[in-house]
Parts: sequence; C-alpha cells; structure tokens
Amino acid sequence: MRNIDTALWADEFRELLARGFYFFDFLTAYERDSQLEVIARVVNPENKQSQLLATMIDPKLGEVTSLASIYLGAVWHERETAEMFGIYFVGLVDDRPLLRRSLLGAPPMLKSTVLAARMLKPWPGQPSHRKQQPIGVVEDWLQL
Amino acid sequence: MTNPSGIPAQAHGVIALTASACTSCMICVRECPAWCIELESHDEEVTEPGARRPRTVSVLDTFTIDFGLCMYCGICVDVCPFDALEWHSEFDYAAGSPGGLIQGINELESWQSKP
Ligand code: SF4
Ligand code: SF4
Repeated sequence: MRNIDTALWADEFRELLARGFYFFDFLTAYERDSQLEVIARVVNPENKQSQLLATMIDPKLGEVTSLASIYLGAVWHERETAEMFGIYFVGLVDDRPLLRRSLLGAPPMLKSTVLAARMLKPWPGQPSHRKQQPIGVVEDWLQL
Repeated sequence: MTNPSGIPAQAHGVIALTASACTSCMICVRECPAWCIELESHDEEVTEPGARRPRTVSVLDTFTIDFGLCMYCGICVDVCPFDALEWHSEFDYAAGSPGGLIQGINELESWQSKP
C-alpha cells in the first residue's frame, strides 16, 4: 500500500489510469487512531497488476478530491464512504445516500458514533458481579 | 473437503453448539461484535468418585444465537477455548419472522448430526 498526499490523490489515479490500471476495484475508508484514511485499489487487467493507495484525511477539512471524473466506477464507493464515514468528496456530483435515509446525524461507521441498537439492547456479556466495558464501544457509552 | 452438495465443510453456514462442551465461560458472548449470543447458567456442586470435596460446575440453562443479527464472522467459533462451537455448512434455515432466526440449545445442537 502506498501513502499519497491528499492534495495529489486524484493526480495519482489519473496517472495510474494512463498506465493501464483501468479497472476500479474499490474505495473505502478506515479509522486509524481517530483519523480517517481513504483507501482505493485499481487493477490493470492486461497484466493482472494492482495498486493499493491510501491517503490520510486532514480532520480539520474532512475532504478529498473525488475520483469520479477519472473512474466512473468510483461513484458508488464514494457515495457509500461519504454517508458511512462523513467524508466529503470534492467534485462528486451524486451525493444521494445509498443505505441511509438521509445524511443527517452521525456517520454510523465512526467509532465515536453510538448506534441506536447499542443503546436499546443491553450488552449480553455484562458480568453480574462487576462492571465491564463492552469491546468496540466508546468510553462514555451510556445505556438508556 | 466438501459435503454432498459441493459446499466446503467449513463454510460459514450455521453455527453448531456442543452444549456438553460449553462451560458457560461467556467468552463468545463478550467477543461477539454483533451482541447476538446470549446465555444463562447456574452453578452446581458435583462430587466425582474418589474426590474429597465437591467441585462447582456451571450448568448451561439457555444458549441462543440470533442469526438475524449474526454477521457470520466466526469470532465466537475461534475464541471458544473448549471447541463447543463449530461451523456447519447448512444454510437453508430461513424464517418467516425475525424471531424465527433466534436458535436455542436444541436447534444449535441439531446441526451437529446433520451430514
Ligand atoms: S459468527 Fe460473529 S456475529 Fe455471529 S455469533 Fe459468532 S461472533 Fe457473533
Ligand atoms: S466460549 Fe465456548 S465454552 Fe465459553 S460460553 Fe461460549 S460456547 Fe461456551
């Protein structure tokens, strides 16, 4: 995996497309140490080589240039990553949510987001004689 | 290895429980990311032949997996220290309502005997 400066993200893919990496495999995001990283993979079907690229998103800006004008197939992945992680893809025209009804509210894939299902259902693993914090739940998680 | 229908034997179809191997340790319940395993147990004293003092053992009362919430990750199967959970390739257990996907001890054990 190669780490790319966010400012050079789209340029890098434009160059890869010119070099024959014309199959857009996927794009997604990953939360690493409270910072979001966008990851994408493209393939050159002729020689079966692939390139996996990543870029750390500046938390103050929360955005990266869309690859949709380079790879049409990136649209679906960017729409999904936008609604799930709250990342803004600059230049992505289609911002309709795919799975969520609206983009209001906290992005569900952020570790800081407490999902409604986690508030409504008690953790089945709670020991009877001491309090334990469930795995993957934020520190100040409160059961309703 | 594949079963008669050509599906690999270790395919993530359904989770089979061996209740007699389960010690109610709760490890799978706590590690399950979907919070879809629940169990209840009570302690019983058993005196084994030749033993001086009785031993306290956990006896399983209920054990359920809600396959409507399960994401088939296999963490529970991997973390169980007593091999009480294992994958079975059966996948054909659709239900007419979400509650029908909650399987208890009897259903989870029945997968053991399937080919
Ligand atoms: S397979 Fe994963 S989600 Fe399903 S019961 Fe096991 S740990 Fe939970
Ligand atoms: S981890 Fe294994 S032994 Fe422990 S409660 Fe789960 S099934 Fe039973």
